[in-house]
Amino acid sequence: MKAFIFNNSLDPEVADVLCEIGNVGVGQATTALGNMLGECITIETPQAFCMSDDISELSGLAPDTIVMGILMKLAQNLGGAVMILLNKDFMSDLIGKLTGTHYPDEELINNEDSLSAIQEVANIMASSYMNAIGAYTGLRIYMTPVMVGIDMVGALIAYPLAQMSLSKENIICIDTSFEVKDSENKIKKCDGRIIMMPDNNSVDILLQALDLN
Amino acid sequence: MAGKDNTILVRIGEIAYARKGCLTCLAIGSCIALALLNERTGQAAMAHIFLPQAPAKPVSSGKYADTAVIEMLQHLRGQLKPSDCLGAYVVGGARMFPQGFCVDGSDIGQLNSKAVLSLLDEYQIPIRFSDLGGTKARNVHFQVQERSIKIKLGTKQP
Repeated sequence: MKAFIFNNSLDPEVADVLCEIGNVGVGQATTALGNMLGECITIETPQAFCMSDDISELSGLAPDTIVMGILMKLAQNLGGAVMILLNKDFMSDLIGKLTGTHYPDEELINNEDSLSAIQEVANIMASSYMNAIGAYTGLRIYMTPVMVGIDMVGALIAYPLAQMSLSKENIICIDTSFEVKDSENKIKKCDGRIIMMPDNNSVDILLQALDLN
Repeated sequence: MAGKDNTILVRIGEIAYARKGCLTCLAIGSCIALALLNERTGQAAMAHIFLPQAPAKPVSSGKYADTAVIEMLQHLRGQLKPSDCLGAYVVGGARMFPQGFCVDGSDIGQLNSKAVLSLLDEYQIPIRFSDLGGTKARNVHFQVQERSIKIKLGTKQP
């Protein structure tokens, strides 16, 4: 199966498969986050698409909204990146709960303890995401250590996309958003997003692993 | 398109032209906001550049440094007399994650900065203002008539 049809648009069947892969991953990752918090998380249907010119629309937020971005690179047999976007205040609360200390905004990623806690949460989420995809496809997936940044969402997303566009022309995004609510499923606490950006070669590997090529 | 306060928003890969108002690029990280001003006529152009070099068949010219500069020059130079002179304002090229996410050891922010600076050098356009590098995203507001540029950081520089 070829990932791209004319005009560099994504083949709808391939898009379906990638959505399913995203769904499996996000299901596991949000379950892990939910377990940490004891709260209710709802996920939306993933979308898979080829990066268009207007990536500013990608986040669904104003591009200069400040969020926390967590970025990991896929290593060894797969290439590309995974990015997790989380509400900054939510993360600050979560880290407060986990460490018993409240860190003000600037300290959140500059303080060693709080950064380490964030990296741990990120690791748990990202590795659940990738573990689920690995189990689903039978692939062994490796990732580099997490990188954390608090900044404008447009700039955070553009960074890995631009870096990857240097070598590959078509970047595919598998994008799932989720919402964290309190245990009674009433008060919304956080909007989050997990975006997987496999490079073209990795899309072929994923499809091959599912016997779809 | 001019919005409220005469703000003209230039999104990724776009080029905008104006004689008045405020040309604005939001969330410039590793991208580059490049404004060129015809200092005689007051005509200005701003591009939100995403990548240093265009592929063989680029879909949009504003997305790449080389094609964006050529298009802006064609537009601005078309109205130029030989004695006219341009000024450049460049902002961006940050490394959004300090640890970096490098392909072949090259950082996209740096590559973008280098590409734009060498193009400005090649076309002999003097730089009136530059704020490149760092690790923080910036909002860039260029007041065309006042010829002033305002940079706003999203978060504090550590």
